Amino acid sequence: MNLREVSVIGIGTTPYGLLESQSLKSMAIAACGEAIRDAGIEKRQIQAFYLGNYISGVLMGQETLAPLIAVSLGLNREISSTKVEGACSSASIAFRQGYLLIASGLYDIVLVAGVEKMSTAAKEKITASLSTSIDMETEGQTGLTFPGFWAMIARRHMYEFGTTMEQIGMVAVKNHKNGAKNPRARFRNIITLEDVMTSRLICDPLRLYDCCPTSDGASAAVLCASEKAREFTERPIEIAGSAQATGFPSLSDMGQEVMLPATVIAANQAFEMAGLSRNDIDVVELHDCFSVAEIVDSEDLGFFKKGKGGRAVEQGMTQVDGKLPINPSGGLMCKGHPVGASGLGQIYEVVRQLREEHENQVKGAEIGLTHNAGGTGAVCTVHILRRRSDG
Amino acid sequence: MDETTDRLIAVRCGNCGKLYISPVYVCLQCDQSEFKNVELTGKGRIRTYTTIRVPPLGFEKEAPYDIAVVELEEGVHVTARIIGKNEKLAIGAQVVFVKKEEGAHWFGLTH
Ligand SMILES: [Zn+2]
Repeated sequence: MNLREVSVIGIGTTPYGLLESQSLKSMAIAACGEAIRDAGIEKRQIQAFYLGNYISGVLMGQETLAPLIAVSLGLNREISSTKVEGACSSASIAFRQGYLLIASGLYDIVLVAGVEKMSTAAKEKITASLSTSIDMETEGQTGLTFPGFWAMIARRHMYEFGTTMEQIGMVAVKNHKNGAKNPRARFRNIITLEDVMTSRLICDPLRLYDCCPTSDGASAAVLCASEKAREFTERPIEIAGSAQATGFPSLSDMGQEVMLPATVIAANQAFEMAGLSRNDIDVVELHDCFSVAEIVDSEDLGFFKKGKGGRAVEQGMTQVDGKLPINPSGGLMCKGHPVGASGLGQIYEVVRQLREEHENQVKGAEIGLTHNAGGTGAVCTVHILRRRSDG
Repeated sequence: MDETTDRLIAVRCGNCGKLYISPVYVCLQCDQSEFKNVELTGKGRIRTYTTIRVPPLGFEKEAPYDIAVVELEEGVHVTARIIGKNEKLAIGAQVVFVKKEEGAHWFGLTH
């Protein structure tokens, strides 16, 4: 099948954080409105709408979000509006659906968005609803949580490869340093390694600063067939690779506790599709829901050999001015993780990098990668974005 | 699911013999769906572990509590609760099955 080239022509986002006065609708509409204005299109030109969301049903008592938002946004009612769910990958899946519809030739312009509202719910309710992407037939019954899932991966990674808590903590320090400059980030404070290592234990050995904060937020993008993108923008960003793979819904079924196999599969597919190698990537926004996750993900994506991710952080390779800048936005850890929106939040940050207008600009960035690991790595997505060479 | 048992039951594929401790609907190795129950020895070792200090809804009264991935003698892995407040949890530590209650497997450290 011949796929058409697809580009991102508009992006929009709310800041991430505690947006107490904002609703699911108001956040999504703000992000979508900004993306539409940025693209320079008319609403009536949008031919489909895909929305990522994870837990609005459980947390906010609101479902059927996509048409709800489409109507309030004033989209044409002759188009389809669809919500997709894949835990932390929800918005990336929405992005990928838009990509596929345009690549297939069915549509020329699709609006994609992601939204989550978390701050108004009780902490136990949030922990419990986030845990609903753990298999409730098995691990869910033990009282396992996501911090617990990643804590067990951390411990095994340390055991097998000699990764240290200092290396793991350095991820949080780096991401806070980056997020401090990002006006969209929930936290703007610089922290020290000592701050991380003396913060409250959440799930041994992970501490408070090893965990990403729950947040409210929405992000959106307008996708367009590349052949028509120039009608709207001087600086389209092409989607060079888009992949999604299926992993295991529980840690015990993986047979090991140091990698997410679906990340490996999705990364290989995305790189093959793009015809690019790991060395071609200038900037990465990956799924650092916990500090240790950034180390594991960076290995699974193929940037570092398995077991060497901790050392790469220690050597400064993943700093904004390092060999492979990871999460210059501050990542989920510092920017915040409105679960159903985060995937498009990453796309937003990478597009700004490739337009060379980011607060933590990676010099000369032309090719970027985004990655989400949904739930226990059951739904992993990888996208590779590239500045158009003729632009 | 909600009954308590002190026998550790797994299922073995009637066709290829693959062993499962998680619920299984079709054999992932041979695609057949005839299984027979087998009782395991209950002896295993800890592959990794954590202490949950921030529990989800419904587990508030139990926190902090220990969870581990246990590798059983027969080769299968299971995520389980470790009974008690444990100071000697370690990767490789020997554990033995105690009970299955409300869908969760419970093990104890053997001293
Ligand atoms: Zn079989």
